[in-house]
Amino acid sequence: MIDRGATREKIRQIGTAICCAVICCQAGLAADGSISSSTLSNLDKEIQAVLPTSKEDQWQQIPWRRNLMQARMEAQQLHRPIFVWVMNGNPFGCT
Amino acid sequence: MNRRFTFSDATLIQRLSQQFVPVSGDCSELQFGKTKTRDWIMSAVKKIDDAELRVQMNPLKDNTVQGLFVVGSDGTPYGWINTNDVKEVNDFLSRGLALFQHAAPDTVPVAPELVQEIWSQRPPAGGCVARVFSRISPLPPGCDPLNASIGRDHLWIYPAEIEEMIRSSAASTEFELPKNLVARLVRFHLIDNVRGEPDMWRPEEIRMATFLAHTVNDGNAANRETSFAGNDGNSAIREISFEGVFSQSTANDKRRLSGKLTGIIKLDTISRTITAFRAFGRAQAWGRSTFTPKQPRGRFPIIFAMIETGDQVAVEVPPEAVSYDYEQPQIAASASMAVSGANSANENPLILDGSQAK
Repeated sequence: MIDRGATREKIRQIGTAICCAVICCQAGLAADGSISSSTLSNLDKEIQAVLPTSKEDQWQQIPWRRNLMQARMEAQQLHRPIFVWVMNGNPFGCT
Repeated sequence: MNRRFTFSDATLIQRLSQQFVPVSGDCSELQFGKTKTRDWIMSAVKKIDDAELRVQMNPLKDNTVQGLFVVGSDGTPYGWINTNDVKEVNDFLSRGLALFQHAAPDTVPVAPELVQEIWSQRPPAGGCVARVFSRISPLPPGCDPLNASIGRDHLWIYPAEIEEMIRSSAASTEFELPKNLVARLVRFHLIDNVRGEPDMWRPEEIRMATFLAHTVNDGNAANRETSFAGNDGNSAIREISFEGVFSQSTANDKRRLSGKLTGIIKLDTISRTITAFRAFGRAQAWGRSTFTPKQPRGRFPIIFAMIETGDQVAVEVPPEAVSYDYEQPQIAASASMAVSGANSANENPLILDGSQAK
C-alpha cells in the first residue's frame, strides 16, 4: 500500500528544500556561508523600499493619543468629545 | 480600503485634530483587558443602542467592538460606526459633535492613578523593540487595492536572547540565532498581515526555520564606536550578520509563505544591549487568513523590513501576538524538518523541532 499522506508530505518537504536552496543561491551568500558585503550594503536600500512613504503615514498627522484616561482629562480641558478608533490590533502596531 | 487610508483624508485630519481628542486602541486592551481603562470604555460601549454593534459583539460571532466611537469625558456615548468610507466617517463626526454640543458632559474628575495606569503590555526591560513592516511588492496587476496596504507590528527581543548572541558570537564566528527568537520570527512576524490581522502560524505549520549568524566585527577595543550619539567610550559594538530561510504552510496548504530574511545586529557587549537591528526579507506567499480576504490570485511576493526603534509608540504598543506563547514560542515536533541538503553553504543549520523549542 502506498501511504499517500506520507508521500504528499515528502513531496512538500522536497519542494520546500528546493525552493529555499534557490532562494539562498540568489541571496548573495559567500562561500563560507556568511552574507556577502554587497548584500549587506544593499540592506538599508532594501529596507527603505518597505518603509511607509510620507503619503502612507498621513494618518499619523492626526495627534492620536493612546492613553484614554489622559485623553479624558484633555477632553475636559478643551471642551471636546473624545474620538476612539478601536481595532483588532493596535493601528500603530498591527495592520 | 484600509482605515489608515480613511484617516489620510485632509478633512478628517483637520476635524479630528481640531474638534476632537483622538485616541487609538486595540480591542485586546480596551475590550478584553483587565484594567480600569477597559472598564470605563466598555461601560460607555454598553450604553450604545446599535443593532449592528450588538451583532458584532456577539461572542458566538465576531465578538469585537472594533470601530469608531464618539464619547464624552464622563463616559456619555455619542455614537458608534464601523466603516472605512470617508464621507460616512465625516457625517458620523458631525452627528457626534452635534450631540455633544447639545448635551455637554458633566466634568468628572479623572483620578491620577487612572491616568498612570499601565493598560498595555510593555517590552521586556533590557530588551530591544524592532518595528516590522510588510508589503506586497511588486503588486500583482488587477489585485484588490487593499493589497497596497502596509503590515505593521513590533518585534520584541528579550535580554536572554541578547546575552545568548553576545556569548555565541564571542565563542564562534558562525553560530545559530537564539531558538526562541527564530521561532518568534517565523510564527508571528514573517506573515502576511498586509490586509489585516492574520491567523498567526501554529507550531505545526512551521516547515523550515534555518537562521545562521556570522560575526562581522568582533567589537574589540580597536572597533569601539565613537560615532553613536551619547557614546561615552564605554561601549564596544560587535556587529553580526544573519541569514535565515523559512517556510510555513497550513495543513491543507491553502496558505503558505516561503522566503529568506537577511539582517545585521549591533550588540553592545558592555551594556549588553542591541544598538541596531536591521533586516530585510523577501518571500513568496499564497492564500489568506480568516480576516484577510481579497489576496492576490495565486502566488504573490511579500517583502519585510525590521528596524530597531525606541520611541513611545514602541513602548505602549505590544506585538500583535503578545497574548500567544510569544516569549518562548513552540515549534511542534511534527513540524521539524532537516534542511542540511537545502543549503550547502550552511554547514551547521539550525533545525527547529519540539525538543529544541522550550
